[in-house]
Amino acid sequence: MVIKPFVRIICFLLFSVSYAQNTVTGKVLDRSTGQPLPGATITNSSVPGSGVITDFDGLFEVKAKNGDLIKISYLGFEPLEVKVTKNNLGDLFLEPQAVALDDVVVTALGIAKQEKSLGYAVQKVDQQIFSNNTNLNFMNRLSGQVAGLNISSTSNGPASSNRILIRGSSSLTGSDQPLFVIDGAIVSSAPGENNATQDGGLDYGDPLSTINPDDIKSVTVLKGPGATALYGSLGTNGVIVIETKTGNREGISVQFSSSVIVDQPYIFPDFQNSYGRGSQGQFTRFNTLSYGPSYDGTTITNWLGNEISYSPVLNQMQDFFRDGITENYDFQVSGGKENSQFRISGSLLNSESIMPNSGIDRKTLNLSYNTNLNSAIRLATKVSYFNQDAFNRPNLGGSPDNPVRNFYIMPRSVVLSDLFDYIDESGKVITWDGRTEGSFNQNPYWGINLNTNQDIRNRLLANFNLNMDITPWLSANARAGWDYIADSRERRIAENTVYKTSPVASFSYSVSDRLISNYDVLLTAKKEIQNFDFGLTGGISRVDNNVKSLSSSGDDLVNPDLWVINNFREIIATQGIAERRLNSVFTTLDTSWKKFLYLNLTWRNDWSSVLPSENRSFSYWSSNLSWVLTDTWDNLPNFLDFAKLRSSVAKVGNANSLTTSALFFNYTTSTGHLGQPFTRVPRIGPNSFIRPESTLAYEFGIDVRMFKGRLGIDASVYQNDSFDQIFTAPVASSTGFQDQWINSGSIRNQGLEIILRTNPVETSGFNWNSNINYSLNRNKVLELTEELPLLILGGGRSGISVQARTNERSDLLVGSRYLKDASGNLILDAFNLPQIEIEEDGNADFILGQVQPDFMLGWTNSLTFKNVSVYFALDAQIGGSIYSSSYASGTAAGTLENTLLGRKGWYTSERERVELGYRPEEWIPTGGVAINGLNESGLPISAFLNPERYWSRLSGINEANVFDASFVRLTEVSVGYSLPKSFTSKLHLKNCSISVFGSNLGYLLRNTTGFSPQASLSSGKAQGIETFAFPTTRSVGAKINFQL
Amino acid sequence: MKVFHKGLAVVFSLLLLNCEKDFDEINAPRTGAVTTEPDGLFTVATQRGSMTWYMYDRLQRYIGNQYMQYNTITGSGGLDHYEPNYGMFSDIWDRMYGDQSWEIAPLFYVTHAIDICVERGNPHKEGIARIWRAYLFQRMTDLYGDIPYSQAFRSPLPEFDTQEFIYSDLIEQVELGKSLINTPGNYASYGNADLIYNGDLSKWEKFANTLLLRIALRVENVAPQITQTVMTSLSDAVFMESNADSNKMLWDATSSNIYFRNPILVTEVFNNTRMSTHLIDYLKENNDPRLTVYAKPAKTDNEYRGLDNGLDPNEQTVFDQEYYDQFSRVGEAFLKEDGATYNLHYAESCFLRAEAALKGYLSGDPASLYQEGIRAAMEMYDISDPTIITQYLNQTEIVFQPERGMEQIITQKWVSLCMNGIEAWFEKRRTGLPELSPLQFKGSINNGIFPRRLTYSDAERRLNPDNVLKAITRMGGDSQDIGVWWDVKN
Repeated sequence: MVIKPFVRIICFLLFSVSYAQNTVTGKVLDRSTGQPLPGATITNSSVPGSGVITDFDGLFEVKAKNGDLIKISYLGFEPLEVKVTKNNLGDLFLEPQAVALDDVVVTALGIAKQEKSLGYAVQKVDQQIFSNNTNLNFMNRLSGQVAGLNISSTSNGPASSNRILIRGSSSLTGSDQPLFVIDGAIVSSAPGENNATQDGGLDYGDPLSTINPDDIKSVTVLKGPGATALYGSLGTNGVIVIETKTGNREGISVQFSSSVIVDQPYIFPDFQNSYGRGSQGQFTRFNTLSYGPSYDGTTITNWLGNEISYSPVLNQMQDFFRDGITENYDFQVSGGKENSQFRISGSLLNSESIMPNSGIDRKTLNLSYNTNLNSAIRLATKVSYFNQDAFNRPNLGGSPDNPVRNFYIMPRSVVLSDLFDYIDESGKVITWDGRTEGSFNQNPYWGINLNTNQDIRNRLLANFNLNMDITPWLSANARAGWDYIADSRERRIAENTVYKTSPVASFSYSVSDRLISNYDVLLTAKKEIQNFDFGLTGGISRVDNNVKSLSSSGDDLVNPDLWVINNFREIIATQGIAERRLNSVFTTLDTSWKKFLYLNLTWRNDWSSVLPSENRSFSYWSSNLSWVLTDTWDNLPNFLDFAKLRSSVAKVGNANSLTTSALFFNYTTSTGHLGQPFTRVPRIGPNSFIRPESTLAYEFGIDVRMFKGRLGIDASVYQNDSFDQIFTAPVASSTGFQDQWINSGSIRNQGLEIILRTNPVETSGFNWNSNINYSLNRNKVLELTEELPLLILGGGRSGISVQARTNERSDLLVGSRYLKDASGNLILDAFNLPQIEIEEDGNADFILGQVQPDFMLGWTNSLTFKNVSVYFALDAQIGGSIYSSSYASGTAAGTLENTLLGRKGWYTSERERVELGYRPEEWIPTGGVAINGLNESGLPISAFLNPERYWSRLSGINEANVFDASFVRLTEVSVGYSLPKSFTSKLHLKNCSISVFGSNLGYLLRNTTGFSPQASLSSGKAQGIETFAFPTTRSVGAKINFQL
Repeated sequence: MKVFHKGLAVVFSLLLLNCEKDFDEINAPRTGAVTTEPDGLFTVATQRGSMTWYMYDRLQRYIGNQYMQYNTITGSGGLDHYEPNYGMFSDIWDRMYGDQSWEIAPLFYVTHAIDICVERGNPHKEGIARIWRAYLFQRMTDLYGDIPYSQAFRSPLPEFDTQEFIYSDLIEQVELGKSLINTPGNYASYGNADLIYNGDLSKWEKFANTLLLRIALRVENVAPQITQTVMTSLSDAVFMESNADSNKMLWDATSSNIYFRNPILVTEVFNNTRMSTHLIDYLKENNDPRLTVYAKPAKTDNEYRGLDNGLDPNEQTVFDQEYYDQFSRVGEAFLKEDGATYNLHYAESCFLRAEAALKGYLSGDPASLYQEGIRAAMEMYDISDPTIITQYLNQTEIVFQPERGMEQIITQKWVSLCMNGIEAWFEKRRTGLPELSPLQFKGSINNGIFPRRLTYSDAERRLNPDNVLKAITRMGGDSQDIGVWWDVKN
């Protein structure tokens, strides 16, 4: 379908033949090795669009005439300019750059700085990481790429949200999502809209996922408050700065690429295939458990009333899911001259999810135009448009419409094809428990075909940036940016849905639009006085956030199957309006002495509209020092290319978690009873004395590069104390409220980050770069409130929760545990079953683990061998725990392999008992689940237990369902091949490359049973709880790229 | 260039001079009002106070109705074995007091409505709200014992009052409410915002008097002097006069929002409620015409058959719905789309007066009040054929015998309170009546001891620990076996 335009574009491009004129030839070589350099760029500024690239032998041919100046550039080498004096310029040698010490990075507010001058850690990720994107959310690609950045994905289906955490969680209940800045403009950085809870819900993904990864030039991660203080309150959780591609200066370039990606589900629950439907070894046709007799091939009457053979049914779940397929087409045209450049790019994506009847379409269009208005003023503009249409995102968590939930509990002997007909003549459900109402055992095909949803997002990003050199030492920069997101969402729940308490159809339809506008003006002065360099920047900024929404829900369809809100008998509409404004004034001073000692001071004052008037104004500062040792002394050992020490102290504040109107007690109206409206009061107690919260951060780091760039080590240690946190603390319900806005609590995050960069092999034909990112973060709650020893952050179903506790971490997995004596023996109950520990005061909550890992490792490798490039990456997280609701449910239902334990012995024992005519209390079982422990008077017991009762008990003991979440994963492998120039030039192509790639290919280490250690449901605080997660997928794809 | 300089200067100065311009406007609540009339709050307090499905499901279907053997929940065990369900007990507390998910705190809303009435000077609305608040708080204290009352919603850490204090204040509040609604003058009425009596002051007064009667008898065992005082004050009072005076909540037949629909009907969708053996057998033994409206015949054989309470879970190995089809489900009387659930009905008013007359507190003939109560209870569910009622009343077992008076009155009250289990439970704790069937299951972790209260909320214990501890110390523990202040019968 989309192939046709693609073919058309190719044909068009192939036949628009260019013709040669006066040409100059030459050969480019590497001075250090004497080897030819393929791929070097040759431009002739006097002939527009003359840019060419050297071929495999370093040869080039460029349009030029005598006297023209030809520029030769190649990454990692000093550029060379040659004046044309003859037609054959012969061998041209490029000098390798000493070591790329003058790396320029983008820092806060888009200010480009030399990396060596920075007193804090930043880490940059280059575009090639994003070019082979296999995931609908490009942020997944950053996993393992940056030390200190933790991207935790969910298993919530395609385009689902991630939790993005830089240097640990610093906020108790508020968002710890970093700020995202695209080309200098603040964009919607809302955390993923993942509404999934243990009870159900959908994951709408994060705003970032709409961005076309092919437009990304680089991503820079500003980690600590030292780096982000200039962003003020918005940058508290770190900043991710995205630069997109702009037009090139060397003529017109056209690129087209197309890729196909297959998502294959590969982690499925470990089901048992020995026992079918029933209980206590007996088959009954409507039983909801898989504790029936072992398969014997006899004829039984199944739930549909058909006589079938009682035999194993394999792959129910595998057959339900399918391979997901994503096709992506991307084009870009860019070009320009010295003074103006443009770039147009667009992409089309169509993705079919692993769940039948579900998929996503995405379109992006991106325009960028930069021009020098005159010698002093430069204008950069960019407009991007995204459209995403997602049909039928999976119902998650404990929703009966979640097909995964169904497979965990559905009796193993139910045949999948028996569920294909999900609706009977009267419009009621046909499902495996034989019920038509009041049941949570949904037919999964009803769920995916009738209870559908759709969401459409339109997003426009616009950005204008005016740069002006007022005098040689003074420049000004004015910026305006808008991020507009319009969403519409609908959800249907069909008539007679089996789990609904009312048989009528329900519908919800909501629209919302969000606009973030930001404006800033910066003035920068630079001056050198003898050994000193000064740079002073001052500026003002404003960020406005506006959200308007209307959500409506309707019940009871009037005309069947007409799903528009006005076709419902009962309609409820709710309007939402929220606005906030942040005004700021800031200044930053950069000084350096003899170009080896750099000091950067920043100060900023914010006025935030969400705070009470007396607390609206707050300020913060940072002080960053960088000392380049290699520039200080000349007599350092030769192998040392570069060495630098850096340190930073910063204090930042924010009021981000405060919602608008949190200061007021106000009354809202909602639909009431028999036409009488309800007046509602807030559920969260307002607080008109709220202050901004603060973070005090220290950071120290070292950056050493050795052996001519072969080895580099960059290490940072930090401590961030966040105190006076704004959060909603639960209060006793006798106050009338559920929570209360308060200022309290402090959290400490301490960590270590090490980046090891190596270049073990570098020859003319073969190059291997290998980097390791290591990070460790320790998190501790120093205080919550005086009264509050703990704060429940999420979870809550079946006794498991994620909590913050004073003097412990803020990501504790808390739940029930086995009752044991001091030496670890189980204390059994009157039926010899393990039991949960309940303390004297009734407490049954114990710390079972922590959600976040102890440390993370990422290992990335890129190898190039002539025209072939290979990239592979692993990432690892060690430590951390995950609780599996699925495992607990499957255990209780008897569907999982672990529940086979003891079954055979028990049923044999029971048969003997019945044959010999004993009553249960007279019989000592001869088989079953063998258990050893102590009885309640402390005497040792060994007994055989009924497996059904044993596993049912274990499913209720949270500790029995907690798994180690450590993993080592092969995240990426890609192989790219550029067709030789000699071949592509015949096709009139500048470049043609083919790549194949795979992501999330497999776990080399995993300690979870039947689900991925990254299968957390929530992308918020309540990570560490898995609830009927979608099967983890591996993605394999291929991409072809043409450049003209 | 100069223009640029100037422009910049202007922008700078504007911002710096007034960095908080428009902030008040930007941050003002846009979707809520800063002041309000009490009506919408009172509507919430009555509707939620009458228990929508969520509260009905927990407090009645699981707790009251199983304790008092109106219904049995299939395969539930737990509460049906008199084992405490701390989660559910907490849930009820948290949702009666606090504005939590799924439910709206009636205690908070009615208190807040009173505050606004006082502020706005409407004694009629205030009086009604005070009477309703007393009704709700009596139920709350009868469930839990000592509870936050005078400081509830007034403090971040409310202290608990003793039940004795609460009862004395409840009486004062009802008296105050009565006098407020009798304030002469023309005040705006709740009108239809009063879902119970449409703002009818005389009906509220009759309810107030009946409520005082309920309160007075409840404390009789522990504070007879209070009973006597209240009864004396009620000597000329007008009580409910017909079923039209009953305090009830009518449900919305046309709404599909389950929080507006008949809660019993809503919970029937779960298909796990069966009528109790004890109730069915009692109705059958006495040829009670209510049998066919209280219960449906079993699906399997059209017989009326109850499911036993307190079954041994080990014998209920078959969780198959076909097995439960042999027991009676909830009857049509309770399943009307536009039906009502009762907070205090006319029949109860008659039984309360019959008891007061029997004990000599009030004038009147206990026998005829008793008969009127039975008649009202039948008419309430559309059994209005006088011959059928008379036939029932003339049975030896049913004819009023003063020496068995209490047993007969309370037993009939129990039948009339069907599906309002907690009120029947309060009366059972006060009088020990009626006799119920013993549990079959012997392994109950509570040794099968009949519960006498609900335990406090876990969240309240965690978040208001000192005050909970004081209350617990005062009451002698937080166990469900501890009798509340007035519960001294056993």
